[in-house]
Amino acid sequence: MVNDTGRTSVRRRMPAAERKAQIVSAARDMFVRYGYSGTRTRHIAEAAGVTEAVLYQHFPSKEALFEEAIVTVLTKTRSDILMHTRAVAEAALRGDAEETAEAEGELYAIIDSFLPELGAALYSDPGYGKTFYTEYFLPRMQRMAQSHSDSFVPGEDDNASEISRYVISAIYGMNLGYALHAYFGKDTVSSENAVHEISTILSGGIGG
Amino acid sequence: MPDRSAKQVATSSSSPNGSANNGEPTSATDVTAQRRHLLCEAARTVFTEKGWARARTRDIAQEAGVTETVLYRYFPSKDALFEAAILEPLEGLVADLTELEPSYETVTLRDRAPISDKVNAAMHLRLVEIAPLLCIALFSDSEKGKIFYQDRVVPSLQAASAFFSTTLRPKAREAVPPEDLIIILLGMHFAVATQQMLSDEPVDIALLARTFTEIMAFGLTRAAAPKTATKK
Repeated sequence: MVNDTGRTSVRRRMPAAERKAQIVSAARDMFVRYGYSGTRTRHIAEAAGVTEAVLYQHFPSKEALFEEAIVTVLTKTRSDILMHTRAVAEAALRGDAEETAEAEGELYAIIDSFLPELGAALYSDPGYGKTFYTEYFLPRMQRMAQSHSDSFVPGEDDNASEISRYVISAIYGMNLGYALHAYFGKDTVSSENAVHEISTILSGGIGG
Repeated sequence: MPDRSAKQVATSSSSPNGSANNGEPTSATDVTAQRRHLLCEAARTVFTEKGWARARTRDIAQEAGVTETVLYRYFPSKDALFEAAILEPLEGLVADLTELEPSYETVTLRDRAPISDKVNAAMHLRLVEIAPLLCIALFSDSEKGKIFYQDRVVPSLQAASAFFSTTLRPKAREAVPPEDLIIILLGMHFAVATQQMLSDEPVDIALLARTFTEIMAFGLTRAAAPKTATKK
């Protein structure tokens, strides 16, 4: 620590930033384990080794803490998921198996590593999940389905944006299925195998 | 919306003799089975609305049109009811697939697509029932979720994947083995079902089933081709 030079005080107080980071890290673990509604600020404080009063000095509410520990992380993840989903779709539509596999590998890695946060934010509590989904995910997904319905569904089709919505869900869902199985299941899931199978399906299917 | 019709069935049963199957004779075991089913449906509705912690057995009993005492005669605890409520549609999915299985043997290769559509439509309807409770089971305590997934979900996955072992062609089985295919397919339907759960956006089931069938068979290029131009 830079400030420690020359100081001889025995009971060094933890700098506020460090303490805050410790609370955030404890909060992340608790939210990932027990979801939004199942987590109490008291338990976060305990896990972080501070009193609840200290926790409230840093964060006014459980919601604010959830924002910091989970939502902030997911803001970047959301953009990455959408960007790579689009890349996978575009490559698969061109029938380019190699490029599909490459983009799909990146998409799977993101969904797989952020599954705990996605689960806490979207799936752990019906009320919170709804707010989070409609405010954070839905507008961007709709925009993407709209703006890509031309390329996803060439020609005239009244259902173009509906179909492209299902296409986006399919790509996300294939990855989610494998990520859930890897996280909750006992079998070791080979991500290479998952990526290979998903890109095989997307870039040409497995036959009627 | 399957949820809403479930609610109607549940509330109409509040009259003692009101049964869903239009005055067909019901034996005592039928009544037991039917009441279990109604309680499971009511449980799904209440757990979906309120989550695990805030769902009360009293509310579930009320939703099913019975007293709490009757509920406890069928299910010893909220835990037991929750488990039955989620296992019922999981087992239902396996039953749906078993029922569709023979139809694959009677058609020519060209005519398989409509049956695949039925498989996808059935999966969609079941996942709409399953998804909210599955979310609770997995994510309200992820360590318990792992046990639930391994003990309860995986056996259903295995039973359902047996369907693909018999119906998939060798070439398809080689590209994606049945035990992997079920994870991929249910993931797709889980994504749609949770999106519906979180946004209340309506799903066109026929169009969804068609799109998913085509993605699985031919990849995105064909799935994205305009449906209006598709002739059977």
